[in-house]
Amino acid sequence: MAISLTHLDWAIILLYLAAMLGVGFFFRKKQNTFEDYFLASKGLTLPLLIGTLVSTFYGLDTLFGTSEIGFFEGVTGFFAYALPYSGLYLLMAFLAPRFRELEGNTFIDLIGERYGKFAQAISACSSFFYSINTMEMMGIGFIFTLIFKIPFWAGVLIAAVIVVAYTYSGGLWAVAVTDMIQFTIMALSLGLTLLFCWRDLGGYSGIYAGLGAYLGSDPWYYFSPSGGYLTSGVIAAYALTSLAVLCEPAFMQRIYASRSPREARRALLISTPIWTAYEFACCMLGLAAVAAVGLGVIGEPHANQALLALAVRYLPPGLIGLFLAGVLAAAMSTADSYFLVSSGNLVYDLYRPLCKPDLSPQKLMTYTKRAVLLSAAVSVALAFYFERIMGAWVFQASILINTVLIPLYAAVFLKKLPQSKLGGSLAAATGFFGTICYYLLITTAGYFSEEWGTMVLRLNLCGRTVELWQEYGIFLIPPFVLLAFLVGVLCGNKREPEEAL
Amino acid sequence: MNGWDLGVYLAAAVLIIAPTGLFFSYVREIARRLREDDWH
Repeated sequence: MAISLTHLDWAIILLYLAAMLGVGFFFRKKQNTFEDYFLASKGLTLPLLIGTLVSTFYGLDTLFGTSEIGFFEGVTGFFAYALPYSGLYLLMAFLAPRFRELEGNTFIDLIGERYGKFAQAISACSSFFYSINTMEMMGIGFIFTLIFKIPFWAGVLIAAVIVVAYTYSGGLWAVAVTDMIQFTIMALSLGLTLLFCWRDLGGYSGIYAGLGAYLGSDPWYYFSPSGGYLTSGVIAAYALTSLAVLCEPAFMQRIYASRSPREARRALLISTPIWTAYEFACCMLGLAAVAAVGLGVIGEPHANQALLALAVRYLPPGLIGLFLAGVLAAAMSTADSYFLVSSGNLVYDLYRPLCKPDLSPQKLMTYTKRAVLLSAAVSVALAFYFERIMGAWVFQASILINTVLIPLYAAVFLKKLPQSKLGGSLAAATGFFGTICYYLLITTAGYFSEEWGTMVLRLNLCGRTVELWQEYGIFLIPPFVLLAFLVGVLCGNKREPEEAL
Repeated sequence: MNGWDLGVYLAAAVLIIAPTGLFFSYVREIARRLREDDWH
């Protein structure tokens, strides 16, 4: 897809990139300790918190992924895939203050304090796997390739250098300050594209006619919340994947970095409608792109470039530059946060408790900075290695939820339950190793189904054929984790609740 | 104009108005922090 840019567009994109580097340079000597660097001295206030929460959690997967589902399946992309997340964000607004009230700097800290070093190390590893940034690095590389007409590998490398430069120098302060700029650009550019496009295509009636012209039949299912084919069981299954919100490492980092528990709750309450509007806009733009093709307004784009095609068609010069800067912002704001989170996993959650419990706050910060470089190197390397990135993402989400969710919430919210180190350790180990074994089994003994677009293992059980998808790990493993936790609680040496936290 | 149109314009309004409003309070806060060199 070719994009022609005016001088104004170029100026906006280059100004944006320069601003990111400038912020990193400004913050390079503002931190003295790990808490300053990793948690912005626990001083993030409302606007900074909202900006960094919204922009971090919505990256290219939302921008291009949700619009792609809207392109193929219509509003079900919002109702079945996105709306459950909104419900979880709202729930998290009421749970977050409890995490912020507790001692510690990360949620892995809580697991370590309650269940010991083994559970802590496994949880840190799962959080590190989750936070590897491969998808965003591939996305940024693609966007750089599109804008600057350079090879993919050069795009990935240049993008990584810019993101690492300001994250390494400035830590969470630089990330939060740049995230707010990124949030503003990405939300504004998306809102304007939606407004212009929907109005120019003639609103609902014009778009319905365009969809009909494209399909050659009644496009009713494009406006059906179930897409005309999803059962309530399938919708419930998709909804379960949104549980990642409850133990999302970047989310948790921002809750710990908020100035107070009240500030964390208010930020999440205000962010929820913005997230919901963002998902809705992406989905409706995907659907509108199909109508635009049907009406002959644009040529048929690749589904995941539908949103770009509409922006280029409808936005005036200057605003196209703003939109492309918004796309870069969506990717960079997510990438910077996960570089930081994964470096904290390696140093604060893994290296410190296992090897150097007496590490000074200054040394912790220095090592965390170095780990940002390591995390970036791993992400870039994997961006060149992986071809089917969604498969990696499903694994990353599953391993985090299966390992962390049950022990963490039992530790924080089931205060009356007598718990043992054995219970937490068994649960974390079952989730972690169970997920790895399940995915190894599916990827080695299964096959890639072109029909469903995922890895499937076909089993013959008592004469009946059963299909296991790689996505099922998120449903099949948690019951075993819960069982392991309960067995550990019953068999292990119990600690009194008040002794534990 | 039906419910879908309203939903779309509402979403667009949220995405245009919310960041604009928040950006002004962000600028105020950053200006204060720069004045007082308060990054702790």
